[in-house]
Formats: sequence, C-alpha cells, structure tokens
Amino acid sequence: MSPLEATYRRAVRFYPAEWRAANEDVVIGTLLDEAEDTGRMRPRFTEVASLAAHGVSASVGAFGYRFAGTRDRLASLAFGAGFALALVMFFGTEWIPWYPEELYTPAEQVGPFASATVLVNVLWFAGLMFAISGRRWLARVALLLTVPISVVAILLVDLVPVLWNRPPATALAFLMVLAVLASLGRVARRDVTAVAATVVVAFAGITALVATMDGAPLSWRPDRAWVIAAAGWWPALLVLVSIVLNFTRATTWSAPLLGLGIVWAGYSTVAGWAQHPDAFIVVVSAGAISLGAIVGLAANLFGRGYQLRLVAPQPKTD
Amino acid sequence: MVSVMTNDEVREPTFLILAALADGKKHGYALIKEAAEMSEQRVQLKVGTLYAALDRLTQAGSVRSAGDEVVSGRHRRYFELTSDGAVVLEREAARLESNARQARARLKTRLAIGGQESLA
Repeated sequence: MSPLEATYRRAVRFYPAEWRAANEDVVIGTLLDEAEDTGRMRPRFTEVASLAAHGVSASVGAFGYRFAGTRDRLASLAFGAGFALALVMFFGTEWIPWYPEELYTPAEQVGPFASATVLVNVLWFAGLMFAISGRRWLARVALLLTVPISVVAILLVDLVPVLWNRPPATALAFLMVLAVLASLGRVARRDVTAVAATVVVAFAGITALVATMDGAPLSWRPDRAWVIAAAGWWPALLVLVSIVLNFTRATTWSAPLLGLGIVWAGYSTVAGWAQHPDAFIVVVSAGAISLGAIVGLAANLFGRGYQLRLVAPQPKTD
Repeated sequence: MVSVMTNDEVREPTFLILAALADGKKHGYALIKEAAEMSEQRVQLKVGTLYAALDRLTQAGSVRSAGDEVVSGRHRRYFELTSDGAVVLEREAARLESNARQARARLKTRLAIGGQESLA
C-alpha cells in the first residue's frame, strides 16, 4: 500500500463501520484515480478535510437512523400508556360517576369534575384522536400543551390550596414525561391504538380484581392499596415482557418496553416513597429499575443486546 | 417513489451529478470530471461530497448502483440514473430554464427602459 493510499484510508476512518465495509475500497479507488490524473503523490488538505467532515456527518446520521425505530416505538408506547392513564384518571379521580359521595367540596370542583386538571386528560384524548386520524402535528401540540398546564396546576395548588385541587403532583409529572416521550417520535396509529387498548383493558382487569378483593367502591385514589400495588407491579411487568421479547429474539419492542418500564418505575418509586415509605412498591419499583439495567447490560454482553437488536435496516449506501 | 427532493430545490453539485448520469452509467472519478466540464471548471467536486450526494440520491431512489469492477487493482463502482431520477432532473432543468427566461425578459425590459430614459 502506498503512503498516499494509507493516508486516504486513515481519513475514511471517520465514516461508520457499515459504510466503510460497503464503500471504502470504491472511495479509495476514486481518490487514487484523481491523484494519478492530477499527478499528485500527496493528498490535498481539502480532500482529507472533506472526507473527515462527511465521515463525521455520516456517523452522526447513522446513529440517529439506528435509533429512530426504537425512539418511534417508545413514543407509541408512551402515547398509549399516557392515554390509558389519562382515561383512568378522568374516570377514577376527576369524575368518578359511580362514587356515591362527594370527594371534594363544591368550591374545589369544576362542574362535575374534581379539578381543572381534567383539561390535561381531555388533551390526551384529543391527542389520541389526532394521532389515530394521522394528524401527528396536532397530536404533538395537544400533548405538549399538557406540560405547561400541569406545571401551572401544581404551582397554583401550592399557592392557593383552598381554591384549587389537583391529582398528586407525581401523577401529573409522570404524565408530563409520557407526553414529552410521545412527542419525540413518529407514532404509528396502529401501535398507539393497540397499546392504549391493552393498557386500558389490563388496568381495568387489575382494578376489578383488586377491588373485588378489597370490597370497596371503585376509585383511583392515591391512598388505595390496590393502586399502589398496581402501580408498583406495572413497571416490573413491562421489564419482564421486555426480557422475554429480548431472549426470544422478538426484539423489536424490547428496548422501548424497557425504556417505558424504567420511566414508570421511576414514577412508582417516587410516588410510593411519598405516600407509603414502607410499602413494597418502593422495593418493587427500584427493583424494576435495577433489573432493567442489569438485563440490558447482560443482554449486550451476551450478544443479544437491546441496542443491536433494535436497529432499523441500514440505509443502502451503494 | 419520486424521491424526497420532489418539492426541494436541487443544489448545483447534485444537479450536475444527475446531469452527468443522464447519458449513461459512470463511475466516481468520471462523475467528478464530467461535473467540472459541464460547469466550465467552476464546480470541482470533492470525493467526500460526491459520495455523500450519491448516498442521498441512492436513498431517494434517483440513482442506483450499476455494478462494481476492479481496474488496475482499484475498485470502481458505476452509478446510473433511475426513471425517478430522470423525472427529478427534468423538473429541475425546466425550473432553471424558466428562471433564466424570466431573468432575460426582465433584463430586456430594463434595457428598454434605460434606452427611453437616455432618449429623454
């Protein structure tokens, strides 16, 4: 190999490995053709700088492309889960049509609803409708609007607690995180619908089961043991499904599920710690986070990595 | 697929690459030489720029690989224009022609006004 070719080959190291495997020899051939035609034995500075700049750009682009599929699926999962939570909160904390007693004083209520933060739930519903009808931009606006509204609601209740009411700040914060995650990617209508339906049915099932065991009227109040139990086991369940998918090589959804599981576990841990410091939810949620981290690391070490298994097809470069 | 460039302006290096491929398949260095020739040596494509443009055009479906060969120990890859690429090139050429016609028409008007002003 000539010194000129060696210099060129060093310059193309800025490109991602997949690109080099497909194109390096061809690019080097072109560079050598040009050098020979122009009678040069040394590379031009501008040539090497151009290769470096395009190589770095291709590497950054390949990274973004590689994780685009994961990001979009995580967005769909967050969208579906957020919608389901908003639905549960709407019926379980804001409206509670089946609950016989007044939960709050009339001064605190907004019409038939417990608080003005019912608007957050309504925006989630609107977001889902927009997403299903293919209006992603409007869906994103609806979800992102919930963030300032939630922040204002949290601050107002702290300032004027007699006049304002709202769900726990941790629940609103969790919905905000889900809204941001759901806005980061391109959500697929089918995925959002499937996830929302699954979470609603699963949540309703768990609610009915625990309420039957509990023997108390249904409501999604934060001080109810079943809520704590359900919230604590959800992230663990998500991580478990993620592990199963990863080891059965059905890996498309494993990393997004792991991501959502970890976010949910974080919420459950904070919420559980705030309300029931001695409850097992803290152990379960913190355990889900640790388990997720360990599984992710082990899966990578044993070659069934979430990162590598989740990549979208590489762009054609030839 | 007519490519992502349907509504976007095609930049000059990209236009020259598409134009260079219009009369048949070519390899990398031949494209660089042809782009320089068509632009009267004004556009000297760097190899990095060339392959970045070819990557984009390939992903957009405007260009495709037309086989590799090894000549004197050097690898060459040939590229050819697709039918979608020909549509993009045709549309871009028409846009440039239209802009040029408009510019010339206004220059004529300017000259006419200038002549009247000088007579006055």
